[in-house]
Amino acid sequence: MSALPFVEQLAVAYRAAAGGLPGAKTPAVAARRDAALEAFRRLGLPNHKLESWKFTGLNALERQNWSLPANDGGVDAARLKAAALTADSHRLVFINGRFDAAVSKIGDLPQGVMLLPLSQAGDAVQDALVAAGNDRAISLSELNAALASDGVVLLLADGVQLDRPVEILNFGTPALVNLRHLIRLGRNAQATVVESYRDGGVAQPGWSNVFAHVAVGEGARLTHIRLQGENPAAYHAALGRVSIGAGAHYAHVSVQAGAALARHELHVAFAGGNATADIQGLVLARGKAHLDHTLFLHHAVPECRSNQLFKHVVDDEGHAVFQGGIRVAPHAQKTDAQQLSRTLLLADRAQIDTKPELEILADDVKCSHGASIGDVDAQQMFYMQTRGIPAHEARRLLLSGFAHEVVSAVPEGALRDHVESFVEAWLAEKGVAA
Amino acid sequence: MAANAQTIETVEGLAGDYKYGFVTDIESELLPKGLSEDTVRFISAKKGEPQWMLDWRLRAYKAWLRMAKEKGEPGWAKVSYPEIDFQDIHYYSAPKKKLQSMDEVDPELLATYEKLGIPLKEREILAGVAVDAVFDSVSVATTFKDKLKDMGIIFCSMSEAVREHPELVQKYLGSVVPVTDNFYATLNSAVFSDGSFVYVPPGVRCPMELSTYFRINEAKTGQFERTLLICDKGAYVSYLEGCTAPMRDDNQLHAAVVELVCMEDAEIRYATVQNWYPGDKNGKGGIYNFVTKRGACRGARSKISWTQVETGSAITWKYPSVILQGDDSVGEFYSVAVANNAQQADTGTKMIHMGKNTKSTIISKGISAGKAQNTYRGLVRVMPGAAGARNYSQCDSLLIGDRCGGHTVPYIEVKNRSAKVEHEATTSRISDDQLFYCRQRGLSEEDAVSTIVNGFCKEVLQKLPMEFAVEAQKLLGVSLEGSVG
Amino acid sequence: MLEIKNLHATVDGKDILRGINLTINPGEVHAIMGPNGSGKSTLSYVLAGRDGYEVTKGDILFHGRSLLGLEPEERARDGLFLAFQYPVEIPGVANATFLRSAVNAVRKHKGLADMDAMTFLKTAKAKMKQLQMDEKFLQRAVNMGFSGGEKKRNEVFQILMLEPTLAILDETDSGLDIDALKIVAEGVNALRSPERSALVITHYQRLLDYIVPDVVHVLSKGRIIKTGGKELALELEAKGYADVIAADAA
Repeated sequence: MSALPFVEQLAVAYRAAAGGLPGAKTPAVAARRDAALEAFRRLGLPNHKLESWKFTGLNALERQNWSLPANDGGVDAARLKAAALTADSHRLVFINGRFDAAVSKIGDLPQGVMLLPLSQAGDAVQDALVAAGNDRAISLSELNAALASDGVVLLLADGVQLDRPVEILNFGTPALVNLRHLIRLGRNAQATVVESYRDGGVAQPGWSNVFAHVAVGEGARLTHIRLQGENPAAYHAALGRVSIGAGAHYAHVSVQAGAALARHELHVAFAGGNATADIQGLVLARGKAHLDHTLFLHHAVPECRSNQLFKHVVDDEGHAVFQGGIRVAPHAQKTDAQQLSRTLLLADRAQIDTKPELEILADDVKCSHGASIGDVDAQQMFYMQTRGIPAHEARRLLLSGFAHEVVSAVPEGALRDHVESFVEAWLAEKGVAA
Repeated sequence: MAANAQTIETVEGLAGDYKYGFVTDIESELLPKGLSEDTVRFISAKKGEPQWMLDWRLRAYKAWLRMAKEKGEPGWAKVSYPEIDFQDIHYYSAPKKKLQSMDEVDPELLATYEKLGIPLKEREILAGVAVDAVFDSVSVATTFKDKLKDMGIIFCSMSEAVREHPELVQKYLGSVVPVTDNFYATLNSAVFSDGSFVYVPPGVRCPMELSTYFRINEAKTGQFERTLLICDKGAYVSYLEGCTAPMRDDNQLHAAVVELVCMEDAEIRYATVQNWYPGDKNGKGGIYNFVTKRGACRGARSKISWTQVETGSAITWKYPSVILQGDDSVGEFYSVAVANNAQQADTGTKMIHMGKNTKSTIISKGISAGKAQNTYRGLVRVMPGAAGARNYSQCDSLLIGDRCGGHTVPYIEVKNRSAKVEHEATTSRISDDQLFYCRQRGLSEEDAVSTIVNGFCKEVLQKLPMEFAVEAQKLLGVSLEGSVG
Repeated sequence: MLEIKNLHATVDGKDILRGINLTINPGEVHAIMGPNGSGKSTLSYVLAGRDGYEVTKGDILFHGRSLLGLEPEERARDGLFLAFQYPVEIPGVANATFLRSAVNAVRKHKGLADMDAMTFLKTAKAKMKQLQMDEKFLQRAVNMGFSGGEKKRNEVFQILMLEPTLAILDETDSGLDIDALKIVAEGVNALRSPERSALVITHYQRLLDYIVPDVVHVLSKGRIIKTGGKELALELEAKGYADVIAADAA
C-alpha cells in the first residue's frame, strides 16, 4: 500500500513521464494531456453508482500500486509466433506500451495510406489526442489521453483499399499501459484491423487501458476484430468510439478470453443514412475472470441497420456482463436494430448479468432484443452420447458449435482460421467442466 | 404516412375525455397541509391506533427524513417532474360522518361510486364481488363482510385490521416491503391512512372476487393507502383494485404500498385497473402514482400472479414484484401500460428466484402515443440456490406516432447454471397496412386502432377476471381513442 | 354500379394510372389483365381509397356517387370490397372478432341492428363450410400464420360474410393450387346476382375459367388498351401481352 491515494499515484507517474510521451513538445497536446489528467483526478475510477458500471467494479485496481512500464525486456519468439497472424499483415507490436520496431513489420503501403505507431505519427498525434475522443465525462478515456504512450494511427484516403490486414499486437506487462488508436477511413475506403491483447507471460497483474477512435467514412468498409486473452491476473479496460458514415459498413468481432477483469465498452454512432453495423461478441470466461461488454448503439439518423450478437460461455467462477443499449433518436425512422445475447453457464458458481436496453423515440422502426441463459442442452448432450461420443467431448463440440456463430462472422480464410484457433485453444486448454 | 398524421390528430382530439373526472361535493375532514411528527401522531390518533402502530409509523417517519436529507426522491426511473413539496400536501382527508353500516353511507358518496360503476350497496350486488371502497384516505364501506366472515376470511379496512387483528398485522406488516425499502414506501409507512386487509385461512378458497376501489377526491391530497393480503396454506384468493380521481390542475401524489404473503400451496391473483386522472393533453395536472407492490411466495408451490392494466396517472412508477422463496413457487406478471399525450410510465416487475424450481413469467405490453414516454423496467434475478429456476419474459412496445418513446430496460442476473432464462422484446407500430385493411372492411379508424391494440394486449387481458376484462378493453379504447398510426 | 372516368393517379409523385375509363353495370363481372407494373394493383388501391394513392384527374362513381374524398371505411360500408393480393396479419385479434366488427359496421351503416353472436357464429360456420375452411380459423388471429392459400380463402370468406355489391379481387388466384382455386371461385360465383358485380384483377387466365367474366380489359402503362369478351383472356393466354401492347403502340 502506498501512502498516496490511487489517483495521486497516477498523477505523480504522469508528471514524471509527461516529457517523454508522444507529442510532448506540441503545446496543444501537452495542454490536452494536462487537462485530461485533471479530469481523471476529478472523476476518479468509475464505480457501481454509475448505471453503466452497475455490474463491474474496479475497486481492485485501487488496491494495487501502479507504475508506468519500464522500457526493458521483450517478448519471447514463441509467444509472438503463437499470437501473430500466419497470413501476411502489416504488424505493429507493442511491448511495455511502446512500439517494438524489431518484431514489427509494416509492409509496402498503397498511395493514400498512413500507418504508423502513435509515437512516430508526427502531427497526427494531435489528431489522435486532441481532435478525437474528448470524453471529459469518462474517466478511463481521460486517463488514457493523459498517459497514452503509443498506439496505432491508420489513415486511409478516399477510395483506398488496404488488402492486407493491419495487426496490432500488445503483450501484457506488470504495469499500467495506455494505448491509443486512431483509425480513420475516407470515403469508400476499405480496411481490416485486428487488435490482439495477449499474455506477456508475466504473472504479476498488469493493466491495459486502451482507447480507440474509429471513423468509417461514407461508403467505406471496416472489418475490426478484437482478440483479448491476457493473463488471468490482468486488468483490461477498453473504450471504443466509432462513427459510421452514410452507406458505410462496420463489422466488429470481439472475443474476450481471459483476464482478472476485462471490459470492452463500445460506442457506435451512425452519422449518415443507409449504413450498417454488425457487432458480434464471444466471451469465454473461466477461473475468476470477470468479462464485460458494454455497448451503446446510437441510431441518430434514419435508415440504418445494426445487428448485435453476443455469446457467453461461463465456467468455474467466471462472471460475464453484457449491457447492450440501443437508442433510436426521434426521426431516425426506418431503423432496423436487432440484438441477441446468449449465455451458457457451465458451473455452479458461474454467473451472468445482462441488461439489454432499448430506448426508442421513433415509431417506424424494427427493433428487438432477446436474451437466453441456460446450460448446454441436455437433449443434445444425450443424443451425442447415444452415438458413442464421451460426455466431455460432446460438451466441447457443443460449445464449439455455440461459439461458431460468432467466429463465422469473421471473413473466411486465414483471418477466420486465426480467430477459430484462438477460440479452440481456449476450449481445449482445460477440460471444460462437465 | 398521411394516415398516421390524421389518426394521431383524431386521437389527440379525443384526449381529455376522462369520464371519471367529476368532483364529489362531500363534506370532509381535512388535516391542514404539511408533514411533521405531529401529522403522523394525528393520523394514528384519528384511527385510534395502539402504541405499537404509532411507534412503527414514527420509526418510518424518521427513516424517511433521513432518506429525504441524504438522497431525496429516487432518480433512476425514466420520468421527469418538478420536485415535490411534501409540505404542500394534505396527508389526511375523510368524509365527515362516521359510518356504522352501509345504510349510513352518504348518498353523495354512493352516487359517486355509482358514477364509477361500482356496486356498493349489498342488495345491488349480483356479480358476487365483495367491495372495499377507499375514498380519499379512508375506507368507507366493505361489502359482503359477514358472508366472508363465516368462512374465516377477514376482509376489512386496514384501520379496522389494526384494531381488530393486531396479531396478524404486527406479524406481516412490513414483512414484504420493509419500512425503509424505498423513499415512497417509507413515506407511506409513516402516513398511510387506510387500505384493505385480507386474510384467507388455511385451505379456504375465497368464493368471490375481492375488490377495492380507490378514489382521490379532495384537492391537494396525497393518498397513501396500504394493502396487506395474506393467503395461508392451501388457500386461494382473487383480488382486484380499481382507481380513479377527479380532474384537477394540480398534480396529486399517490404513494401506496401493497404487500402479499403467500404460504405453502396458496395462490393469490391480484389484478389492478389503474385509471387515475392522467392530466390534460398538455400534461397539466394528473396523479403521480408512485407505488410499491410486492409479494412473497413464502411456501412451497405457492403462486402469485399480478395482472395490471395501467392507463391513468400523469406519472406511473411501479414494479409489482414476486420474491420466490418457496421451492416450486410461481410468479407471474401480466401488464398493459398505456401512455398517451404527456403521460410518463416507468413500470415493470422484479422476479427474485430463491427457491428451487421456481418459475416466473413476464408479459408486458407497453403502448405509447402522443408525446408520452413508456418504459418497461424489470429485473429477473436467479440466486445461487435457485436450482432449476425458469423465467420467460416478453416485453413488447407499440408506438403510435413519431413523438412518443417506448423503452425496454430488463436486468437479468443469473447465478445458477441450471437456470433457464429467456427474454424477448420487440418494438413495433400499427402499420399503415393493418389500418387500411381494417378500414377496407368497414371499421372506423378509431375502431381499427382499438381492435389492433386489443389484439396486441390480448395475452394480458385474458388474465383478468371476466367482468373486468370487458372494462379494461373499453378503457384501452378510451385512453387511446383513434390514436394509432 | 361503378363508373371510372378518365382516371389519373399518382403514387409517390409517379404517374401510374393515365386515363382509365371503365363502366361496370350491376350483375357484371369484369376482368382486368395486364403485365406486371401495368397499374392493376394501383387501380384496386385507388378504388378502395388507400392513403398515398392520389387521384390527379378524373372521377370514380360508385352507385352514382363520387368516391373521391370518401374514407376507406365509408367506401367499404357502401359495399366496395377489396380482396387483398397480400392479406394483412393482425396479431392477437381473432378472425371472428374482426369479422364481427366489420359485419356490424356495415349493418349499422345500413340501419340494421348488430348481428348477435349466435347468428354470427352460425352464419360464419355455414360460409366456412362452403369454402371448406376449418372452423378453427375463426379463433385464430387474423391471417397470422396462415399459408398463402389460407389467406386467400379467408379473403373470400369475408366477401361471403360482408356481401358487398362490388368485390374487387386483386390477384386472388396467386398462391392457390388448383383445388383451392376452384373452391374460391365457387365462393365468388355463389354471390353472383343481378345486383352484384365483381372486378377480377389477374395476371393469368386460369382463374377466369372458373369465374367467367362478361368483359375483359387489358391494362398497360396505366391505360386500358383493349376491351373484349371472355375470349380475349384466352387470346392473351395463347399469345402473351406483347402482341396486344405492340398493336396498341402502332
